[in-house]
Amino acid sequence: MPGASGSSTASSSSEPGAARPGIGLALALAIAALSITVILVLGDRVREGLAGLRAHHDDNTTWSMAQLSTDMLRLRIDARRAIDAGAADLDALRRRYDIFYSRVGILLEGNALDHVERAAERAAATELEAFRDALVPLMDGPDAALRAALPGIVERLDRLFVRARDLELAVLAAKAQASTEERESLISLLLWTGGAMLAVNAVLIATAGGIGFQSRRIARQSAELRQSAERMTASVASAIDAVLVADADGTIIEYNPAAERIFGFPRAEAIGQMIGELIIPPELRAAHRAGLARYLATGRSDLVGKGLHELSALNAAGERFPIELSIGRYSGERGPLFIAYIRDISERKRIEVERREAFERIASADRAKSDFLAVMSHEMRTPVAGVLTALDLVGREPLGPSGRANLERAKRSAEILLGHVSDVLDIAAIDSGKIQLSHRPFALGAMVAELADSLRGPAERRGNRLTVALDPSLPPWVASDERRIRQVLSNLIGNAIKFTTGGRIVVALDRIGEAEGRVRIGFSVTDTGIGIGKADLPKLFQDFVTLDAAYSREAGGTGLGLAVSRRIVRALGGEIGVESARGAGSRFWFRLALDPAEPAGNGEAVPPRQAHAGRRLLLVEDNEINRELAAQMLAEAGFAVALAEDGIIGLQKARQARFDLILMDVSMPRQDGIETTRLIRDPAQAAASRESPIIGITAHAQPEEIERFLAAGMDRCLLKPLRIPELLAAIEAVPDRPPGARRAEAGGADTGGADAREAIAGAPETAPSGTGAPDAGGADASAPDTAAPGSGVPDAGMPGTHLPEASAPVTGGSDNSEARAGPPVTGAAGTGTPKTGGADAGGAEAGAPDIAASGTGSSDNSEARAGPPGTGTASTGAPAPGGADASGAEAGAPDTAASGTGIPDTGRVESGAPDPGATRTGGPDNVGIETGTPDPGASGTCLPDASGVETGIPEVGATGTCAHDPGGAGAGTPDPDVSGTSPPDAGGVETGTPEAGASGAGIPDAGGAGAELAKAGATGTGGRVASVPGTGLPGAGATGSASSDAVGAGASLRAAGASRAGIPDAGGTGADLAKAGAIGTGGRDTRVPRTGFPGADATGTDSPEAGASGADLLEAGVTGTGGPDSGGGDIGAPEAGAKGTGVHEAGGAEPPAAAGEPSAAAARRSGEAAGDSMVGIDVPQALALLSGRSSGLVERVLAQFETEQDRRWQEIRQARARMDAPGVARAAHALCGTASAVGATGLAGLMGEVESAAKAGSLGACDRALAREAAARRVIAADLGHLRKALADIAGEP
Amino acid sequence: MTRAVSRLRRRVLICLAAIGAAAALPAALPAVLPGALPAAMAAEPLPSPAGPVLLTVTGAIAVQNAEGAARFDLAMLEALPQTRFRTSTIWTDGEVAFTGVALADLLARLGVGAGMLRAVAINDYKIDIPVSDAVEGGPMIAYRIDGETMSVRQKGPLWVVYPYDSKAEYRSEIIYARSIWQLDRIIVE
Repeated sequence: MPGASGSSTASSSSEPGAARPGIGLALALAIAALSITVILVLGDRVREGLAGLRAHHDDNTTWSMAQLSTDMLRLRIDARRAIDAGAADLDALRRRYDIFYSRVGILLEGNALDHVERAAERAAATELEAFRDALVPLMDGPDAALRAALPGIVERLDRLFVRARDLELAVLAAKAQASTEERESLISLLLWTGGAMLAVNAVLIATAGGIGFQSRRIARQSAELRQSAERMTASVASAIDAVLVADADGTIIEYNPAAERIFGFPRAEAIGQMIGELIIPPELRAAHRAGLARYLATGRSDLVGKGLHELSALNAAGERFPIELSIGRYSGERGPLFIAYIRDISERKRIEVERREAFERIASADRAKSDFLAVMSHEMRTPVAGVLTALDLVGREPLGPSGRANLERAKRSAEILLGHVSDVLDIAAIDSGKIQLSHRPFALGAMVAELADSLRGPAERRGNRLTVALDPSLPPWVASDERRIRQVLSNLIGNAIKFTTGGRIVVALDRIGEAEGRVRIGFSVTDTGIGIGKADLPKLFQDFVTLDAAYSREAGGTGLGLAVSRRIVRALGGEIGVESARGAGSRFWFRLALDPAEPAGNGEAVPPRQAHAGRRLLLVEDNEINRELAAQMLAEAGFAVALAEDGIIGLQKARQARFDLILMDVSMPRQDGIETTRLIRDPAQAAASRESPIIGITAHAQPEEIERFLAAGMDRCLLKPLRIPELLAAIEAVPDRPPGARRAEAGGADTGGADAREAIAGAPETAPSGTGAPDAGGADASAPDTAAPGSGVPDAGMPGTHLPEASAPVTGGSDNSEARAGPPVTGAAGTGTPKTGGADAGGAEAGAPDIAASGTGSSDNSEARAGPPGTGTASTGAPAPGGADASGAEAGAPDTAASGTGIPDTGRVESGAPDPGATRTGGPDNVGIETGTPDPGASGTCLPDASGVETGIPEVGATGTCAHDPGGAGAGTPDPDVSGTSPPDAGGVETGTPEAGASGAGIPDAGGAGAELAKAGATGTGGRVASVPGTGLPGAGATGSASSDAVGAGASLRAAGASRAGIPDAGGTGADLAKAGAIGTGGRDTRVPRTGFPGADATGTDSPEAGASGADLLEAGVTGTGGPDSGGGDIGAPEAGAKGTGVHEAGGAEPPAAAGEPSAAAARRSGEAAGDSMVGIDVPQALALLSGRSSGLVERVLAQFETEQDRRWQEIRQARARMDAPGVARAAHALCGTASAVGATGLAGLMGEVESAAKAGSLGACDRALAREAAARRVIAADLGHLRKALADIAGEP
Repeated sequence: MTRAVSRLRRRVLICLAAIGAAAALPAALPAVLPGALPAAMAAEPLPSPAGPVLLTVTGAIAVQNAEGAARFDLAMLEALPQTRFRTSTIWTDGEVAFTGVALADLLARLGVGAGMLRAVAINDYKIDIPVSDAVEGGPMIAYRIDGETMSVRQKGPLWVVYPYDSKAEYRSEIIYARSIWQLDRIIVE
């Protein structure tokens, strides 16, 4: 049985199907095995019992015992017979005795007595044995003795018989008892065995049942499996895609009917073939094998389980065709199987190819159309350009009335023609998705108003009244594509004018809602014209629609206007429509969602024409007529124009000289404009004009071409014909692409160039202003080229200082300005390290204001002065040996004074707290401390009036410093009350929070700056810096050299300054200068932004950022230069500085300057000339500060300034007389602040200088300043006159 | 699957059968049938007994040395092929060694091939012994026990004994009944 059970276990484990019911089955088997073991044990015992039954260990005891009494009786019988018959029978008796003897032996020796235990029976047996044995002698003895004993033997036998009988019965009874016990034991055993058998049977039945259940389940599962397999087979067989199954070797083991259809091999042929050889093209077989091997080795595959793949396959005919393939993997009995679903995609591929080809054909046709349009535009635009330009020029000549009329007609026709070409191009551009929309802030209302103004003429000629109705809730500024919106509006208004006679045209803008931060604005143009019929309305916005052919011909129009408008509006994300009825007028409208925007840049628009006076422009144009016409136009606009006939010449010129602007024709022989631009921009060419803005001019209007131009380095691109307003607008827009960006890439070396441009821009302007030295003006006017270098002087200084290393090359430059650039550098080199050289120059100036004055203007002068600084140093007794140190010393010295000056003595006096004032005045740092100190007490004492306000603010300490300059700032304070109640010294007035002052006057940053500087320990200096950007410089410079923190302060100053329009930049400059440590230099000149440059340049040598700030400065310079007040050129104005420079240049150029050793006298003279003008008011800056204020306030401020000036000068003189340096510093500081408030940057600078010098204990500077008092007051008086007039003009008052 | 199940089922049945067979085995093993009797020595004439006759065989016998009978004394019996075995008996203590003539040898000498032997003892005990009992390795007529002749008092002089220890069949009541001692006569029928 163990064998049987073992085999059944083995069979269960070898049967996969039995695995699931395994546990139950195993349990059943275990029970069965246990039961079987029990049965075997019991069975064995049963067998033993049965064997015992059969194999009697005892003889038939019953019989044997019965024989005992029988044998006794027969012995007695024989004994009786022997007694009776004589001796004859004794042998028989003896035999009988032997039998008896044997019987008793059997009884005794056998086991018959085993069951008998009682003593009585034992005794009986013993008695029998004794009897038997007692007879032995007799029986074996002679007959006689035996015979004689016989009666006794019989008698004993009789007696013993009873005992034997009892013994028999006892044995029988015991035997019966033993048998019964044995039977019962056997029965019990059998019952147990039967029970065990029953249990085994039960287990077996249960097992059988379980097996039956399992087998039913298995049968069910196998049926499901079979069905599933059938389904699978059916689906493979009926699949549309070919299905191939291959084993790991690549042998095909399944191949469905679709595969037969697709590949052409019959199934029977395909099965068993290698898939690689059957359907895989030869060139892919190696890859297939490698892929298969890799998959089998690593389990990685590019194909298996990776979705659809497009490959090619072979069919039975050996043809290759494209397939789409998906491979899956599953496990077979002998390793992995691969199932491939394959689709024949020949048809799809063919369609794709056809579609692509069709698309390419269409695209090519479309390209041809675009090309045609582009060519046409070029071919048409160029001649029209010529016509228009020529007509413009003719129009400037005297003409008769009819000539004039004809000319106008011709111009109008040409313009219409140009418009048509533009319309067509617009359509092409928009349709091809190439329209480029700008997103710049513009003043919406102003734009509309301006547009209406420009169209009012035409409208009125037709008897129409054109009005504009602007919703007051419109955002003043929005960001979008101004030109496109203008174009649409212009088109709609133009249409309205055309179709309306003697009626009204209303242009209305309404705010109609908001969405996602944008404002929805409805534009409408309503006329009272002829209207449009209902039937025509839908056609209106289609291409080439003109409703009234005859009329439109007269009115002009391709019919594209509305189509273009519709496209533009849609491109801008808006909608356009019309409401009209014949005879009832029309209302054209469009709606746009626009982003409200912050005003862009300086709100004050710079009148274009004057801004370009003297700017140097290179025109590269191959067409002679165009070239001449453009040159003439540009010259009239104020440009100094250089001409180049083609790209090569243009490049040459651009390489030699630095132009402010280059106009570049695109298509030219020999070398086109793109290549030329690229070369100019190429650093390898080292073109002087490498950074100059380049505006391309082209008749190629395709947007992608324009992109190409821009990529080559052009800043803008204009379409021919070149027209002045567009050009000017483009020039305005160029800075949108900040030069700094490119400069940053190019590194510090470029900075000089950029600065130079500014300098140039600024300088010439002085000439027109005429207030400056006549020579300078003369020079500029007469020979722009010459003048340019002359005016360029300042920048000349910059390049020099800027790039000390580059000094030699720069010096060698062909440009005069460059030539002059050399000296500073040389000078610097002479004094020591290039850096300090630059700084020294400034420092020298700082130290010696009068000399500085002369020197400030022009850089070379500064050079000349670079020598003197030594002297200056000596005189001031500054310990520092170098020129640079000298300046530092000087700058430092004034600081001391500044601390004195920093606190408005008046304030102190008034506050009646002399002690702190006195105390503080002493230390150079005092001002710093005071200013930096948040202690309101300090400020309070400083400015009694202001105390209230200032104290409130923690920065008040800083404020306090500013307080003085704010004195200036205070002038700007909008709050009339404050100013009204304030004491004469404006210092008190401005009181407001520095921020307030800042916002009001624009200088305020200065205040902030001051605070920063103060922090930096650049005591008081800040004050000056703040008040007058220029003035601050020395201090800042000092700071810069003193502590690095100052740099940080400077930086923030600059940042602050930069955010303001115009002047603040000067402040910025100051900051930069501070960084550069170009002390003082900037200081005095600074009020002329240009002056700042040297400092900035010095910075430049240190760090590229300085260059960047230079750039910023430049912009400031531009702004300043471009101030509306052309007369601003006079004293104090930045231009003045430039002018001064120019003057000096002129002077210096004549005799000794070339030698580099200007005579002191010459320097002084020119310096005074320049210096006097420089102490004046920077009128544009002042305008920026004051315009927009109420006239009463402005007048009060100016009056205060005059009073303050008188008073402070007097104080300075008195303090000087007492040798009271702190007193001088205090007074100078106060005046500095007041002066800066009204834009008297020159005076502020001068006072800053005095303050610095006084603080440093040097009264020399004070003397020099006092020496200029008269001139300064005169100039300022004149400037105030200018300023008042300018303010009045601005306010529109007569 | 179904095949596997049927295989399993078959194995289970075999298993059951085996269990049954094993249980029935002790009862079901019948005696192995005796082989044919040899009748070779029958032809030789039987000598007459010189000593006291211990055994007288009558009935269907092939050789005789008296009127209708073959009479044997101890020498004659000892002249016949001797057989010895040791066995325990239910009548003696422990194993004893019997020496005698195999019943088969005696019957072969007398030319008895089949039939029934009526054995009679001195004490008139009678029992029938089938001739088929007389096989090789079977019963003998012992005349010595442990090398000694047996007196009547010691169940002698002749005692039919089976090799009781050699097989269970010889330890049955029937065999015990056939183990006649004090054998005196045999009547072959």
